[in-house]
Amino acid sequence: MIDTLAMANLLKGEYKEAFTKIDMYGSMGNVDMDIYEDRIMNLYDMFVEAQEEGKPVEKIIGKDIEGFCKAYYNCREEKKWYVDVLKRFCNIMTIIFVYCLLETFWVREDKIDFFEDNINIMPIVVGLIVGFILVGLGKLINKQVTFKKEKVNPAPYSILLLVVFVVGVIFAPLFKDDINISVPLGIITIVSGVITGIYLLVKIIIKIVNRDKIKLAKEEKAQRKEVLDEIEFRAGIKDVADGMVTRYNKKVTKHQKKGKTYTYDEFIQSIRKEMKDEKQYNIVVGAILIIWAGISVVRCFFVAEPIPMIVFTALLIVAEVFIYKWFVKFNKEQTLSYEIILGECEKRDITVDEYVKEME
Amino acid sequence: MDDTQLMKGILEGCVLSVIARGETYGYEILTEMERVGFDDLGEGTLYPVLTRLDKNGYISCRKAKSPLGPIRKYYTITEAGIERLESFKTSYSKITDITNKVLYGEKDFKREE
Repeated sequence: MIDTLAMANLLKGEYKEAFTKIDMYGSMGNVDMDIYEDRIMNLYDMFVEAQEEGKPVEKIIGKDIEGFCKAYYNCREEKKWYVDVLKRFCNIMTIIFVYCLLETFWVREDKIDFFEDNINIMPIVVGLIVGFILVGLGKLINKQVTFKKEKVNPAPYSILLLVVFVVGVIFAPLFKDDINISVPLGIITIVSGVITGIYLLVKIIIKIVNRDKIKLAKEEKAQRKEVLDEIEFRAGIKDVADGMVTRYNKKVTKHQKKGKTYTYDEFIQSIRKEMKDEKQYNIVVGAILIIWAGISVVRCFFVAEPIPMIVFTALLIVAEVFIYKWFVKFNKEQTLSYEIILGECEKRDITVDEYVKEME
Repeated sequence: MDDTQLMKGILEGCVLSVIARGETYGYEILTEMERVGFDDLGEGTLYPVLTRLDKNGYISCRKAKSPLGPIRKYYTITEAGIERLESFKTSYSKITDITNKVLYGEKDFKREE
């Protein structure tokens, strides 16, 4: 996934507004994901350069932004619509096949007759309906919101789509017993299994035949990740600088209420102390996570049914590794951001507030 | 006659000609086309042309980090693209000559105003 919010935050004025709208159209308009990512990265590069040269955004996208989006995201030249439909059909068949296998070998406790019994595919049907609703909602948002307003904030609409997804997909299985959409287990498992098998075989053959292209695509993906990480980091610097200004203002107000003064130099010293303490924070968080995991491991020896506890502990350890890695990365980037911001401010003899205003 | 249709016919050849001068990228092509007089050419029109040229094998594309940071597509003309460009130039010259004769040239076709 591309962090287009970070990309938009590095653009200014009309470029930022145009980029946000074009991104919304692509991400909510049922555009093929590969096409969307390719187009938005290409456009971002153009916008960065044109903005640098002071060119009006109209020179790049014309006067009709909606018309531009329709033309720009049109992928008839690259992907045939029926290939896309076929791929989606095969993916749905794969999901149905996995669902049937889970039902047959894991969920059902009693013995089943593969060719006589039925299976309730209500969660799958609900998932498909939710998919259609999401596509329709996305198109409605684009039609009624994206191009109607001068400035658009995509966050509430993204949250709305996420809520619809969560409600539909996660809560649907809870009502499985109340709504019954039964189909013969044997037939649906065999049909979906055969289609899944053929689809996987075709994918493997395509991978073997196109291995050079796939190798190049992987290298390009790694390169893109490097660039996106850099973009995210640069956008993050702006957020960190904003945060610093807010913190400073809050501390000044707090001290004023107590009849004291809080100077800018005191604030900078506190930031430098935080930077030095970065390693200590990592150690403290690491220790807490290790203790938590340790308690969970010990409990495995004392519970009546250890297997669920072992599974929980394994998942907990995996989650903790991710949390710790994220925390260390976050701390490191924050310290680096502080270094860059304070370095720039000292070099140009400006305050952090003035630095933030320049970035806007 | 609709100018848009006229533009569509010559745009591919013009873009190919710009790329033939040396490896280049989308924004540079857009700027060059604007410099010579294609004022209303936007990225929405240019990108499908580049995609078509790439798909037909007339240009090749490589991705690299740009000086300002984002990933950029750089285009180079291929052997097939050079042949296509020569063919376009020949056809264009021929059609332009004939059209000029019809519109401005020979007495037989001059309209009385």
